Amino acid sequence: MPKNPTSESETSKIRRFETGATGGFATTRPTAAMPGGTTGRFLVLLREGATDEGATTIEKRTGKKLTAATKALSTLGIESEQRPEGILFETLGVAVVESPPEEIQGVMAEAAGESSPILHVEPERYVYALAAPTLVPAPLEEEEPVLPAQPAATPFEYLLGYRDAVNHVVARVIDRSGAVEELEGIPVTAALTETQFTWGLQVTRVPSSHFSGKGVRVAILDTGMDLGHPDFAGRNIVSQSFIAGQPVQDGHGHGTHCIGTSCGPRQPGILPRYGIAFNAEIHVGKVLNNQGSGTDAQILAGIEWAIRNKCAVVSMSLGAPAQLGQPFSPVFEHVGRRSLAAGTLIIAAAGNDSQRPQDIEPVSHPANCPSIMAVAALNRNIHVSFFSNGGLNPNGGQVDIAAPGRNVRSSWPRPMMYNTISGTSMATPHVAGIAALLAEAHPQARGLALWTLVTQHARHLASPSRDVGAGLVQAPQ
Amino acid sequence: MAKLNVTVSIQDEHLSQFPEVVDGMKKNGFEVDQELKSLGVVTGKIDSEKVHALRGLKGVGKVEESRSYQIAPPESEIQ
Repeated sequence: MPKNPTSESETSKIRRFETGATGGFATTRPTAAMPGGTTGRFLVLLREGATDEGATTIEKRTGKKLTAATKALSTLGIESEQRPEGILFETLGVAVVESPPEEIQGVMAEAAGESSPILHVEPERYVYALAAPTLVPAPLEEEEPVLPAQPAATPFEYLLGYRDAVNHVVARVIDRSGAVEELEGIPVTAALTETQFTWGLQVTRVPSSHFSGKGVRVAILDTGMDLGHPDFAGRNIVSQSFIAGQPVQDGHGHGTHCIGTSCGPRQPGILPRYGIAFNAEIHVGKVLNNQGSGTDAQILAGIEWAIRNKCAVVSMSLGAPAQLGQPFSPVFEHVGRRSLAAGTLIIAAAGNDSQRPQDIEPVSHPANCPSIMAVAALNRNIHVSFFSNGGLNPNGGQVDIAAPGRNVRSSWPRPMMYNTISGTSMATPHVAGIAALLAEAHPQARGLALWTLVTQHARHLASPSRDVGAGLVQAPQ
Repeated sequence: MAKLNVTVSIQDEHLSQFPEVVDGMKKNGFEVDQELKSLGVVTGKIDSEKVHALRGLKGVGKVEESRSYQIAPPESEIQ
């Protein structure tokens, strides 16, 4: 972050720098300081080991003299009649040159040759310090960083801008796939646009996965499903209601949404794709009524049904709040252990009772059982969602893994067809779908072995395991 | 005398005698709702005063009061 000037001499230096905001270069064409704006100069990437040759080529083509960076830096921020027309960063192998487009085209033409010392030419950008993040929870926490309109105020910041622009040039040449932004080391498209795939599928590496959950049975225990939803026409669906007097047909929406995320189609009626295990055999267990309530008896009946139907994965986006210090349910732990032994991995939501940062609540029942996998929710910026519970209770009450849970688009009962909602309920079916992909990829791995694959494949994050467990779930490739 | 909804786990080592264990529970006032053999769990009702005795029966593991679950309404932003 730029330092506030304290001394008068620093202030006057900065003022002079700002009025000649061309960074010590001869002024020809000031450009408006807008985010994404260019300065009128060009960055030239030189082949490693061919820096001198490259510099000579540039000087020939543009008629401008390049000054070594060590000499040029001393002129920055100081008014001078002798400002360099071009700077050569010898260690970086990059030159910055002030040139009209016609001259630069001559340099670019040089880049075409295979043994050319010129690798790449690019316009120099203005870059800005990012605004500090606010501590207010949602909706601000997942907004894109705000770019203020004023340029960096000190020469030091300006040089950081140069360095970043050069890194950008190098990354583009090496990557050959355009600007690659990273969040927590995870390559994502610049603004996580959802034209082809939901953001959740993108950050979990689903689009590039070669697996589809083929041959794997996934049970979703929830409010049922809209069995007539066109996105699921032709899918293998087995269903059972455990709610007396209510059919499987989803009168709430929650169940349809979770089934969409875990098992939705590869090509939905309307893009983006939102579903993971598009070939999994869907088992719909209605254990919550159309008002969203259920009891232990109904949920346990659903789990039993899933095991008898040889489901490798059970997804439960439901729970009851737990108190700090409250032990996990021995009955559900018993159930979790028996399920794992029978080859069924139960995955449950960590719960949405928290109001981070001021209040973190413990992981809900039954996710707090050691033998049941607890899933936390992440935002688009791969930080834990404000409502996501934490692993506060010892002996079992931990978060095991994390997945996208903020603004998750998925299927919804007709006529709405689709809906975008948030919750650890939405994170859970991401893990269930990916567990199905892993189950297909590793046909011998079931129960505890499948659990291990899910957590081993996860992307480690900087956030504490209290909040994200093993990290961001990732699809097998 | 209040009747409680309970879930009961059967001890692993007695799972092969599941029917006998359940019979023993019935004799002690347990009203069976579901027998979930794959889970080793029985759900049902019993007088609150008889829970303690139930826990002492051969093959009976843990006895817990049944919970209720409630998710947020469909129009909620966070579910």
